[in-house]
Amino acid sequence: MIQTDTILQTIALTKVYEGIQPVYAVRDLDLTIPQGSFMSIIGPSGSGKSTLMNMLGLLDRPSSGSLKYMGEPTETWEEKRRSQFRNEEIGFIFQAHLLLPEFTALENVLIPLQIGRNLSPARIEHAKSLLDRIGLGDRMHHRPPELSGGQNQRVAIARALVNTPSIVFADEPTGALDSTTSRSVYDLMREINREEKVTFVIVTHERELAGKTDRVITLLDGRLQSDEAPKESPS
Amino acid sequence: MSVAHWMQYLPIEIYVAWRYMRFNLKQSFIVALAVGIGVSIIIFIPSINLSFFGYFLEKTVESNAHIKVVRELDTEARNRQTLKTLYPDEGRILVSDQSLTRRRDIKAYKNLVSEIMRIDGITTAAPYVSESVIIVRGSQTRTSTMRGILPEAEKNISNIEENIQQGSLDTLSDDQVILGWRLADELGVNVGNRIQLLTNFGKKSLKVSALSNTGIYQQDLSTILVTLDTAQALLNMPNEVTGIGLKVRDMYQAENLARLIARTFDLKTTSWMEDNAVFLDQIRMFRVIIAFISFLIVFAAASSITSILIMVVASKSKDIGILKAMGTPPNAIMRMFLLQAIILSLIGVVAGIGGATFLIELYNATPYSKAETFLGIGRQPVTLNLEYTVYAIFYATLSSILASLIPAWQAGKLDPVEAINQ
Ligand SMILES: Nc1ncnc2c1ncn2[C@@H]1O[C@H](COP(=O)(O)OP(=O)(O)OP(=O)(O)O)[C@@H](O)[C@H]1O
Ligand SMILES: [Mg+2]
Repeated sequence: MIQTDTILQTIALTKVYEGIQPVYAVRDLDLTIPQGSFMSIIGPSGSGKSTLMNMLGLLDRPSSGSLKYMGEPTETWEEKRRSQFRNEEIGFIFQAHLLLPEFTALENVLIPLQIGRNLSPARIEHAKSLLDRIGLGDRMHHRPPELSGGQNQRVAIARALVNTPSIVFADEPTGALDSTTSRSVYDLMREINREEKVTFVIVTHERELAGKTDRVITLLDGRLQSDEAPKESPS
Repeated sequence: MSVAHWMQYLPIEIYVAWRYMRFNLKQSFIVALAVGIGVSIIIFIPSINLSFFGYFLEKTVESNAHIKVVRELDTEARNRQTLKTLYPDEGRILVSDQSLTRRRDIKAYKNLVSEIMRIDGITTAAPYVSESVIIVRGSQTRTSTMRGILPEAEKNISNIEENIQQGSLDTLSDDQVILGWRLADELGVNVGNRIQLLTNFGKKSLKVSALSNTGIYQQDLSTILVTLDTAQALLNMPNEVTGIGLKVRDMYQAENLARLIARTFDLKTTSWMEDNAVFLDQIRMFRVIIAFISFLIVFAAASSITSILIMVVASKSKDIGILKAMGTPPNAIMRMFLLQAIILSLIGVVAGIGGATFLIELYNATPYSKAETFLGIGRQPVTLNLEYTVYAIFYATLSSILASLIPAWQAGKLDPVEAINQ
């Protein structure tokens, strides 16, 4: 295998939900994600996929274990640093497409730029071209309630990509889409991965989609069950 | 296609706060309204009352002497003291009854006036004689208080001159008198007619040279103004006066200066503050009550802001989670809600000042009440009380910031994962 830089590494990453019976949502997970990789996570419902993604994306803190970005442990980062890192380096596409209903599609896409205070006419053009690429060029001035579920999901994808992050976490990005749109969303992510070396971690239920990624990780009850490259993997 | 709106270049918290306020017009309106009503009440009530008090003060205090040096009847205690210093070894002294009623008028007043004028803070002095007289016109008699004045000096002490009608104060001569118009009316005399003044020491016929109309009922029914010389002659006290009216530079120093004069010259003095102690207490009491009412109003408005913002935060928790996931720091989220409270309360403050102005105009437009006409103090147009306007702005802004602290803090510490999974 070609040696690449590691963007993200976990060591014995664990998330326990305490209660009468503690739930180990993620348990002793060791994972290394090379820069620019395009991988998927699969597993049955409740196996800890979303929990893992939230921890990897610095939204949630692990109960124990370590999580390093570019070799730097993130446990000691205070909230401000984590916020800034999320804004600049991480893109999220959530399981439920989560947009702000008071803002138009384009405004939603621009919000990460505004948070980082690097909005510019050039960036706005970039955001518009992203919306064009996912087929929403003519709907960008509509607000989420005026768009279909699939259209909203695509807006969320554009929003995750607008800040040209280093890594994108997508939690079932195509779950609500028909197969044609689903394929075009997949193609878009693949393109951006190739062109801009953006790392993608995609949670999916669709075996077919997972099969097209470079690496498939399977979770079961919070544990890593398998970690393999699909046979029909391209490239 | 359109370029981004300029607001998009502002910090995210301002941009989102503004959009939320616009999209939640109903809540925004209620918050601004609560603040507005509170502010207008806090401004309106003191404006009406304090302008009434102020007008009354001006009428009764500014138009009179600030300090009066007055004669004193000898008291038993005072006499004993005097006798004791005179005859320290006598032990028991029998004090006769008579001395209790002996008058101690202010002797050598001209000298005294010039000495008092040397005290810093005293601007004007006007000696006067004030004594009961009987006024006779044909078969009609009345008892009232005659006042003998030096017109030139008196003009600087009181607004007496403004109230003179059908004649003038300056030309008042030793055989003339000025009467309150109601008194003249009762006696059936007019300017040019003659009346007689009677005292224990003599009587004198005087020509009515002018009438006085103060607007205060009781005064217009009792005023008898003569020259100081006339009064002194009628009372057989050529070098004495019964009092000296003084004006001071700072009206609220009157009390202190009055005490200083009393001590220095061993005289009795009263200040307007003593004379109007009940009235001043009334104002003080009013201010306490208004402070209390203001507190209740501010508290009510603030709790409505708190509860509405808690609702907004709860209904927007998902959005807050998204904003956080995309990297909005907790402090910015907090500021987002503080800002909404501040902007809405400022809108409320402006509306409240507008409301108070409107209420005051409305009040000015309503006709006088019977009581006001009877008191005879009339009414001046009420204006916005500046002190309480500043006070209202300050408290409305402060309280809405405090009111939004809890919801803003809640929003700031919201866990994005929980919020998003809701
Ligand atoms: N806040 C929580 N408190 C307690 N248990 C939780 C909490 N969040 C998740 N869990 C539990 O952790 C486990 C993993 O949940 P997670 O959402 O990561 O599953 P998932 O793999 O994403 O499932 P799905 O495919 O249905 O989205 C589940 O058993 C879930 O019940
Ligand atoms: Mg999930």
